[in-house]
Amino acid sequence: MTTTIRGLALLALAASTTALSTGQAFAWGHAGHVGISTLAIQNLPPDLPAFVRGASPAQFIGELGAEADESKTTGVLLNATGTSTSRTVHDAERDNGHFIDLDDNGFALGGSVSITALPATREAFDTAERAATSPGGQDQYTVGYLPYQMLDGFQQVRKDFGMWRAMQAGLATATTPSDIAYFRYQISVRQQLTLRDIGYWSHFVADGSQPMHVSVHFNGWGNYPNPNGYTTAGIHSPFEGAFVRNFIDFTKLTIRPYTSRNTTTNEQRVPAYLLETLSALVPVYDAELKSGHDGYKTNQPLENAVVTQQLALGAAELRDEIVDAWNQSLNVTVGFPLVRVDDAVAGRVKITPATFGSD
Amino acid sequence: MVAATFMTATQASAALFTFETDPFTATTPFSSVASGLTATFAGSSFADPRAFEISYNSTSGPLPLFSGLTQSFLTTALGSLDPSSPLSITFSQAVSALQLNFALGDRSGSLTLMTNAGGTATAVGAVPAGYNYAEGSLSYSGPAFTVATLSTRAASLAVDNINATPGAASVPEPATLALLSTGLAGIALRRRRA
Repeated sequence: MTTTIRGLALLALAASTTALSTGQAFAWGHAGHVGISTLAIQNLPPDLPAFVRGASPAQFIGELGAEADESKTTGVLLNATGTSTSRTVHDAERDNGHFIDLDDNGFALGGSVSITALPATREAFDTAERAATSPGGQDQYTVGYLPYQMLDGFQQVRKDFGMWRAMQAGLATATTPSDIAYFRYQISVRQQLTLRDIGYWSHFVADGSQPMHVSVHFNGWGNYPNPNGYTTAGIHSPFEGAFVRNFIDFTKLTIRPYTSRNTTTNEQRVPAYLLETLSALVPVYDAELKSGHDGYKTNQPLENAVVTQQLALGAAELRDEIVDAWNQSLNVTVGFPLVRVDDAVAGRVKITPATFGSD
Repeated sequence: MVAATFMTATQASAALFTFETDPFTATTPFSSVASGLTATFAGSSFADPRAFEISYNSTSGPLPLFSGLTQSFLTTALGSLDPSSPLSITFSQAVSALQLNFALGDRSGSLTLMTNAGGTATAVGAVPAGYNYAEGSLSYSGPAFTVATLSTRAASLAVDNINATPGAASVPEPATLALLSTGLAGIALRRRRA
């Protein structure tokens, strides 16, 4: 696995910015991620289970919102003199799931895959990228695979909700003390897993609202046609880190009502979301330009507006996808042999401990 | 003699339960002692007695949690099987007055207190400026009780700074004392004549 040029550039930026940690240079900073994840949970509608909606879950999921960044460098060991060894499996595999480099037309770097026509699997995406020629030499790691990280997490949360629904149905019809105890324990385990899964996945949904996480112009405009004179300085880290921490008041941040984005599946929804974020890329650079090339260093109104807008977008999208996961969870299957959750909830199939434990 | 004992009980100092020294993440049922008064906290014995736990009030993040609660407080346990479980507080001796701070898991809602002596009190929460959850204070004074049950329809409940005053319901009015003295004198006189 090769270290991406993007990763090296951001590592260099982080190393040169002593006030910022490596993690803060890679995504929304800690404050941004915690704020987005907390805000999303605080805005869940009342028809979702209370174990997800309460104040403690909001606090817990909020903290986990930054976990995928905290996890970076997990594979790095230091030798006796403190010099880091090369990156290892954990980081090389995961770090590139935080972004996707799209060109101005919404095509993944390499020119062969449009965000609106993503292959069904990450493997197929990788195959297409390896065949790309403009420029060549791409794969899922150099381009980034954020959409697949988002889809993966969404599907897990949807499954968690399906398991929870089925186990509640099992508890409701259990008659023996041992069966009742079994389902109470399983529900407790599933609730904890669900909160963890939402928290970890929420990081990537939030990453998807950072315009420089979905563009080839990820840290300054770069070596591309630049008729507007957009900055080529590194604005990625200050945009998402110090600016958010110092100038954004999350308590005054409001998010829009639920929208399905006129989609029926998460596979349709995620590209639509990332395209909306990509549409804010030029405004990000425009705000910096019209703020006297401030570089997101001081609290300029135009810069504040675009940062606020994208944080609110991330929180709204996360809230909406959790709602979708809950609603779609009636249509997943659980156990072995497989049982439809809607059949279990409607009482057409009786859920017993054997539903989950008969191998 | 009776009246003197009565007065002493009502003048007992209030006991303040802040949860600051209770073990972090301890789950119900557990007991805490303040000023000699023991309070045992529990969730619903049917649904989930472990429904509440000691948690931490994060105030330094981008969205501080609660305004009116201190660093540690008692709240609906993460992953509780019954997030809507009422919280029961059993005191080791009768309590005549109770005040507490609370926070709910929604932007609006109320908290209701019921005692095993038939007393009730309700407080409506409001979101403090700069915060996101309904918070408030609940006060009760009435017939002495040993068990108080707190319930809400909100997604979660957190309580803190529970101030319990041991003793009977109220300090007797002078007229009541006079009546009581007259009665006692009457009893003594009757026994002397008997």
